[in-house]
Amino acid sequence: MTIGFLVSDIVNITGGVNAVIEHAWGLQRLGHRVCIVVLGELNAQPPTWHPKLVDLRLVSVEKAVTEHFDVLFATWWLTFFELWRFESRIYGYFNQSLESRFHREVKLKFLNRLTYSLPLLFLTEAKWLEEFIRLTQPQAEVVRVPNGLSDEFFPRTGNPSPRHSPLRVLVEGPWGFPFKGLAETFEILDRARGNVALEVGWLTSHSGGTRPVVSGEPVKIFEKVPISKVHRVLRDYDVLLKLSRVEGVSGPPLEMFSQGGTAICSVATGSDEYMIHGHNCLLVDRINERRAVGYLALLSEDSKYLDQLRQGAVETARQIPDWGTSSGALNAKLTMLHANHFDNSVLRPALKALAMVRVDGSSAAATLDLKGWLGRFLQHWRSTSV
Amino acid sequence: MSLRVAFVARRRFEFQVPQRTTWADSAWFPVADDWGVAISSASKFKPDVTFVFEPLSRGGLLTDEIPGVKVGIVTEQPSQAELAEAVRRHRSGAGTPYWFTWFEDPSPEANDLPFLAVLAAFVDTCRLPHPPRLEQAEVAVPTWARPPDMQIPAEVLPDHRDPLRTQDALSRHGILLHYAKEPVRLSDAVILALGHGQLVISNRAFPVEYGLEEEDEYLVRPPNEWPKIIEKEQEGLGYFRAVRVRAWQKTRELFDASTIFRRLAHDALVLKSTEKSSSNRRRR
Repeated sequence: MTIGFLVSDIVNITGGVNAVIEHAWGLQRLGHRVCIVVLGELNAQPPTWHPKLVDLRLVSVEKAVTEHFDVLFATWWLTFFELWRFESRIYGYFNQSLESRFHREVKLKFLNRLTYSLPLLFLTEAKWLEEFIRLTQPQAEVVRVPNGLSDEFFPRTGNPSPRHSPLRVLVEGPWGFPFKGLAETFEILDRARGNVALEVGWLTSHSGGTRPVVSGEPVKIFEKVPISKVHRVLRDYDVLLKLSRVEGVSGPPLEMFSQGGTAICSVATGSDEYMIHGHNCLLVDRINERRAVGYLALLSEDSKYLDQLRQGAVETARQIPDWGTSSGALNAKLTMLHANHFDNSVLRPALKALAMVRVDGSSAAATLDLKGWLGRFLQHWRSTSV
Repeated sequence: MSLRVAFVARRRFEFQVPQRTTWADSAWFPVADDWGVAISSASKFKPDVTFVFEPLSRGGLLTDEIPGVKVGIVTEQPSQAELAEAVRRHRSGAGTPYWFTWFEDPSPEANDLPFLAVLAAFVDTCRLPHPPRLEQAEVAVPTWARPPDMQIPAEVLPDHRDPLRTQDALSRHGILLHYAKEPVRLSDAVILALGHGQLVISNRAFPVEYGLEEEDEYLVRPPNEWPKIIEKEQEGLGYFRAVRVRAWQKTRELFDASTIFRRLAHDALVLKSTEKSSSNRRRR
């Protein structure tokens, strides 16, 4: 099969794009003709943050419109509105989060809801998203394939290494996104440091020039680390502190587990997939975020308890399949759909119409009247397409 | 050996006590006017952890005889006398629960009581519809949350403390209106409505620390816009279907009683076993 993934850009390091690359690479290894269609700028040399990018075919929009895809996946939600440009037998949507939650603007949230308005082939990694999509768009074909954990980039440690003293705490996430909770995380560390000796590091794809200080001590920053070297950073820390409130299924805690560390995380969408409070990590809900201060003190004072959590974390990481298994599962689903002559190419005109709504809806002219027009469009579409 | 967890609570807390716990052998001991029977039955159950609702009441302070770790669940503002008595007993070692959760940040008078967590809103989600009834679009409004001069046809939910009646009333609706002049805590009716997958429309945002996401899980609109929103939902085109699904999911993700009590039981046992000093047992 000829399979494409539409991405906005390939330069920035994100967990979402990592999953796209792993699936693309895995499907290519299984004999498919795979490409990543880059909507943004495409340089002659692929970015170096992910070693598998050199093996993949990155193509521009101009090139991709001349191809015929068997399956073409939108990825980041705005790429949904570009699907119509390309000819494909199956239009899909690799949906890794409810991305309306990334935005505060009501109009953008409304536009995001449109991405669930057509019965595409939905691919997702999260149980909660699978449920959300099935309930929101009951006519869609939904495939859930849990993300893998790369054996190559995150080789599972046999046993947790001896703990550090003082406790080493790693913060993870890019600066500039309030829902990532980074400012609150550093505040909590500042408060904890008043009673507990801690060494703090920050692993980030984008620091935005911020240089956090915790109790007068500058935080050690690891910025734009290639994915093949991230595990070395993780191994140097005992605990990941991640208070992000919006996730699909958060990958960094699992990567931390693979290197023998535990985590203190917010209760967020997808945290129930592999995080178990008191077994491999500690979870805090938003109203009790300051409990993280107490948890840090507990882990610092009670090394036996820390080791118990770290042991649970290592066991959890061992149970997570490699990306090869995930891509194999995706291949099996796509092969089955292909054999069953699944075809939703009839959706292309509707995708084009929705792309026009995006243009209008993004402008200042988007009003309830537009929604009224859209409502009639959707009503018409549903009555004629089912 | 599996964990044994007891819940000692009046029947009005029925929707907050988990019917099923996959993580523990648990039992609910309903409290009547006389707490004695519930306390005696709970003691025979030999729980590792007991969650005591209304722990500062006269009856609640008698739960000391139940073996294991006790966690008091404070669900509303106690009287000054109740609080003073609890602090006195705690200082004298005469017996109060090892830990307390509060429905909001405890007042400074409660600083001497060992604080475990804020437990603002929770519901036994296995009692709620699965899947949500997303086609329902009838409107309800709690009697205490009606906007002035409301003209919208809606069933008014009575102000009562019977969760079964509230649940029964809500199960017939698909939209819950909520008006407040000031920021308010999440009421049982709002949590139940969200947990039913209803479209909750409020004139003001709920405090962000509850974790509810405005526009993704409920709508914030001035009352003069409510009729248009209701009309759109009742057209049946599914404008707000995603919002209702997320409300239904979020209730399970964040407010599920079983999940919350699992975390609390674990924390209470770990902190007890580490024999934290009294200073560490105070609010962190």
